[in-house]
Amino acid sequence: MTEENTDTQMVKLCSSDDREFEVEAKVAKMSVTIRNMLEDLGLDNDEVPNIPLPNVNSQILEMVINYCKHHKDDVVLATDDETTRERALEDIDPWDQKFVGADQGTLFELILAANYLDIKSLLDLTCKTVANMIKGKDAEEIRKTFNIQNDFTKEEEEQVRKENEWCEEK
Amino acid sequence: MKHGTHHRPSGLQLQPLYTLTHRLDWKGKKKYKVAHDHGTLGTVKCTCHHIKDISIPTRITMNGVSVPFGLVSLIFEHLNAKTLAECKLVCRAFRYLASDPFLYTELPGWCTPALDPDTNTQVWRLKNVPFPVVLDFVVPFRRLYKWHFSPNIEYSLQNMETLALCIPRLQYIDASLMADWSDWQIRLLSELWVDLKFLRISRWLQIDVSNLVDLEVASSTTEGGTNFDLKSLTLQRLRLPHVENVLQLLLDCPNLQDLTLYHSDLDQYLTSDSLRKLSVYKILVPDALLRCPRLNFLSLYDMGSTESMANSSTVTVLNVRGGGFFSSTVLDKFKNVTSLVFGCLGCGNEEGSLVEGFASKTLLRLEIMGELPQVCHLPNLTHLTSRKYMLPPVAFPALQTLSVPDFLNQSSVEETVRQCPKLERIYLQANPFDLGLESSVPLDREWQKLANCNINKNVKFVVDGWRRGSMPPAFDQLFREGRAGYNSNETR
Repeated sequence: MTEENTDTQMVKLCSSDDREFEVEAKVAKMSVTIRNMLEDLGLDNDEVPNIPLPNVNSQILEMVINYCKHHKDDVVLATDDETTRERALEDIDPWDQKFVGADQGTLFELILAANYLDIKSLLDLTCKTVANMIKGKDAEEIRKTFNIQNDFTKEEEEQVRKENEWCEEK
Repeated sequence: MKHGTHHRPSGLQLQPLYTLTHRLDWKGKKKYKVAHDHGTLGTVKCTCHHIKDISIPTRITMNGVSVPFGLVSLIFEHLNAKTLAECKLVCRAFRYLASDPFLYTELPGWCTPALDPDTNTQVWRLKNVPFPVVLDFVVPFRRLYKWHFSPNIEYSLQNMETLALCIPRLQYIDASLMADWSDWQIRLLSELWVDLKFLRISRWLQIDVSNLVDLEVASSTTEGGTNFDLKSLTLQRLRLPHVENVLQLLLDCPNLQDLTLYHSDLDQYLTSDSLRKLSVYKILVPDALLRCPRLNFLSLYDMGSTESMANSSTVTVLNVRGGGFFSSTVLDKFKNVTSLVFGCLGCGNEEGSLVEGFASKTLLRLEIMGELPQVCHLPNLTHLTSRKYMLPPVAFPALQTLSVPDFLNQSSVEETVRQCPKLERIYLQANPFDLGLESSVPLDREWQKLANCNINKNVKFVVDGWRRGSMPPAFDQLFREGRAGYNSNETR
């Protein structure tokens, strides 16, 4: 079978809560995990392959599929991450911005899903979004934002402050 | 586990035999090993593992979702050293993760890391660490791209070469403090670090600038007097002391966007299609800027007399660092200025003040060192930074943010908010140099008074330069209510 055929073929993705989503193979293959599974299965013309994804619930899977549909024709750009690192934080595509603008619980589930499904661009996007939420905040605000408990003792906290002194010098 | 091999940059004849490896010890802590063909340089303990507690979980719950450490590291990769430092204060897990040297692309200034003998943990100090100890510290920081050379360290050829092998990917080098360097040492920089784009050096000499984007020469003692022979297609930013051949310089660097000439008066008509920013001491020719169609940022030390003051319709940001009085007639020569900074710290007694009756409809931002006039008309001003304690009894109908030196008293806050109906934030600057006082934490009862002000509750007080947690209880109360905050370098 040619590459084009396999791309337009449909595949079924099955979420942890047993909902099935039928998508084009091209969309599904943005996930390296799914692509590998499909290759292992060996695609057959007649049958719609069923991929179980026990780590992703239907709400998140639906979002991931939407993301993949929107980005299926993207050209992958090789970027030098050293130079673009800090700068790249500012320029997140508006569609993507809206996409990750959902509540923060979903955001972390998206990160987990992107990691599990191995979708680099989505993982990048979600990580950048969280990084943006951290930037410019102080420790207390970060704790508040992500609902993290402060588990430092007074001495430990003082010690970290001491370590951090150089930052305030500058 | 082999983590990476460094190759010598091309152009060097020496053998590429320097390797960096790390392995995990039995506690799961990373240990780095530095080796070259002469044997092992030393084992470096990875600094992130100073937490004695090995029972740290490998997942952290964020917003109810349990996230593995590896993914938090991925998030941290997008943060700079300053933000990572703040992350270290969040919780033990964050401290552990944010301490990974791999995350850092720059070390702070000429600070060097050192072991605190009391606690046996890593601290950063303004301290000179000699070779080869410094190598031990930098080796784990494999992604460093910024480096500041500090004086009092012997930078021999071998030392510099080894440093280049440890941190081969530097793009930004600051050697401006290295006034005693020989020519070969300065020239060596661009040979050793082939990715170099930003360079600050103490004095000018003929070096290869063909790949540089940003060059600063700190001192005015130069090889060829004040004529610079600089040709580059890549240079975008250039900061130099005295220059005579500025016209030629602009011709030779056709992509230059930002030019600073310290202590230089401009007595020529500039011609440049690329120039956006210009800083000079004083402009002596009125029409000097007319042939720079893209120039929109102008910085001057001295305005000169109003007769010779240059004019420009493209400049939108005007920064005058010297003192004196600023009148509307000067602003008339810059029809489209929206942002004006007048006066600067450390300019002696010369405070920049605005003349009485100052008026501008274009001005959106104003930062002023001296007095604001009792009468002025700035209907569109949205941002005002004043270094004076008292504000004049003038209405600023569009003002959104106000930055004042120190503590405002209750009545002046109420008065100010009444005059500025759109006000959202009041920044309180640290170190009120003008009052001749040591910066001190404002008293609790002062904050209490502020909290009780009869003002719009949407107005937020932001303190600048005070350490988090060091504010009095009344501030903390405001902080919890979302009516006060610490300034975290957000743009004003």
